[in-house]
Amino acid sequence: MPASPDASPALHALVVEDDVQLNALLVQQLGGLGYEVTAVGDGRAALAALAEARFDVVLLDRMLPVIEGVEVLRRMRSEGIETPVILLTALGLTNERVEGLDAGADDYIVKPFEIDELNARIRAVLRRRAAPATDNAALTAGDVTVSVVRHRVTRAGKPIELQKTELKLLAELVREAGSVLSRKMLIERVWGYDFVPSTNIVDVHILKLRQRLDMPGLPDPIVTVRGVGYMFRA
Amino acid sequence: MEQRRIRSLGRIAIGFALGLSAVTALAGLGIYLALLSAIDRQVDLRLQGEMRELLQDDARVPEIVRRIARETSERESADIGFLLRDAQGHTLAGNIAPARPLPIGASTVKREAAIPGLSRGRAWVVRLSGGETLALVAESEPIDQHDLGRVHILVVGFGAVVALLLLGTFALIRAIRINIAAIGGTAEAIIDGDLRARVPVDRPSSVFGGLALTFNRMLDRIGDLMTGMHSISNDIAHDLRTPLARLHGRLAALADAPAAAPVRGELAAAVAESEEILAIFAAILRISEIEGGDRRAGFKRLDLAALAADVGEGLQLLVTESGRTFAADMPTPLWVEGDPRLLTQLVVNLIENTLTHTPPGTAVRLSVRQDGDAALLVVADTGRGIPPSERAHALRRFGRLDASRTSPGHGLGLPMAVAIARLHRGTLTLGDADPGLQVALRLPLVG
Repeated sequence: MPASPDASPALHALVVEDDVQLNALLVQQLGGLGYEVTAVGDGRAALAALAEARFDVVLLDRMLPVIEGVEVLRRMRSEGIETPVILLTALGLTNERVEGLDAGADDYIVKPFEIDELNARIRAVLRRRAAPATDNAALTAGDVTVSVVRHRVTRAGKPIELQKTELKLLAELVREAGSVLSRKMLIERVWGYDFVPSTNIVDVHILKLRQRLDMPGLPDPIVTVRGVGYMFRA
Repeated sequence: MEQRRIRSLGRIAIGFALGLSAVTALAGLGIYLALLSAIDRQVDLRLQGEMRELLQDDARVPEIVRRIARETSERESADIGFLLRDAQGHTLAGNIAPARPLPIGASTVKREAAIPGLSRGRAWVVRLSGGETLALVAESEPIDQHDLGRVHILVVGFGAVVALLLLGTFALIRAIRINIAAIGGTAEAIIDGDLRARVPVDRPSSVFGGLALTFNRMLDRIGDLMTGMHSISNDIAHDLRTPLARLHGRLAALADAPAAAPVRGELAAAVAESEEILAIFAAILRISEIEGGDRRAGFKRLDLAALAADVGEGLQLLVTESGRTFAADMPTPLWVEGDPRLLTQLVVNLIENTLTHTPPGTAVRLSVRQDGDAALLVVADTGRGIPPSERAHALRRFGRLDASRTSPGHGLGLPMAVAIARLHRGTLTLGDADPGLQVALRLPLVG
């Protein structure tokens, strides 16, 4: 199992999943990534665990015995528990996503998912909670600066011409520099699609972006994380 | 069994009105003739009674002449004409002089007989033993210009009947139209994806009320079946996607294990297979979600040209890097009502289709323009196209053409586009780009 580039051993995750095998798999995989994991199998146990301990993130299945996942989420929020929640579910229709997000979820992942994708989304949720987005300011990572508003990109002080989509992609990577962004996350954030295209649209744009950013003597600023996505060097 | 044809309401009504008018006219004529016959019989009976009185006790001619003179002066028989002629035709007594001879027995006398004051009457003529003829004539018209009056009454009465008939027919047509329109409107709403639409019922006991209730019960039943199918989809999603997710996770974890090095390639292929199965699941569920119509709740006014321009820009690099050329033509804003995410997926699907099913070197063109009261979005390529006979098949779920079996895809891209178009009360058609395929989305414009 590959170690995530941005994993931190201090994070405590609560896994709420009634499928015993999937629960065990999540515990094993998240443990392998350095998370401290508490796992429960139904909604009531989840609320009890939340009342007893503080968690950094809750990974919540939607279809749970005793108390359904979205109801757990509503009760959490009504009791003032603001721990970030990512819903994990086999129900991926739009109204189901909307219901989950409206109930207070921070993100929504439809099964199946790669553990690295889950890890990337946990990090993204935690970063978003820690620092609100500053879309209007110029973004900088390493020797690259992106101003979305002015449509201006420089590397090592030299201007680089980018198409609109390429600029949005680079801005997203630079904003989250040092963290892995999965292809699905980039599709959602850059293209605004709520579906996964059948073509390798992200890879094609990353390839083009690399060509545009390529400068003699300077390293490739974009790291490919196999099976997950991409990361911009911080 | 031969199916009954649906006839137009107007034709049925006109046929009904004409038929009823003809029957009414015939009935009027029958009544008129029956009335004439009845009056004639009454007049004949009276003439026969009068004749018996003149001839009673085997009266001889002089006595008959005397009786005629008396009868013509009496009030009861003043309206009867008498004529007694000898065998040579000389008038012996009487108060009439018909212009033409009257036949023996009963007959109808008309104006041609030139009897003053008589327009229509009956004559009763007998031959006496001495060769004389005795004729009695009486009017069968109770009043002057009776026929004209009768025609007038008939015309007015018939006209009133026809007018009432037409008014009634039009009222009936209107009532039928309103009720049919209510049912038709509900059917249209259902076709447009509003599966909760029902026919409003004011009077359940009426014929149309009963029909509407039956129609609504049918829709309830269809709704139950649809809900059942939707539940099945969700159950499949949960019950099959969860074990598939487990399988996928295990395979992925296994592929990463150092011990799996010799079979890593096979494991990666198995992971890709499970991803493909899940992608098919996702597409099927997405189509059933779209067909369920719930997404219409998120509709908003949007510029289709701007949306297409955005999608084109997002995919341009993908198309050009694949060795194809891309051109977009979006001259002016065109406002439609819709779900931007679904319309985006539709355009993405159509452009991705060109990449999947055309060879490198193909020119892909995306255009949006106004066509009458519709916005027309066209994705055209210069590939090999789809023969007209196979186009309907290509729009069906899993309807992959034989020629495309060797290329990737599951035959769900175009059906999803069709479902999205239908949800937006639009159409999606395949045509000839000469050469190549042209896919046209037509959506109603909004102000």
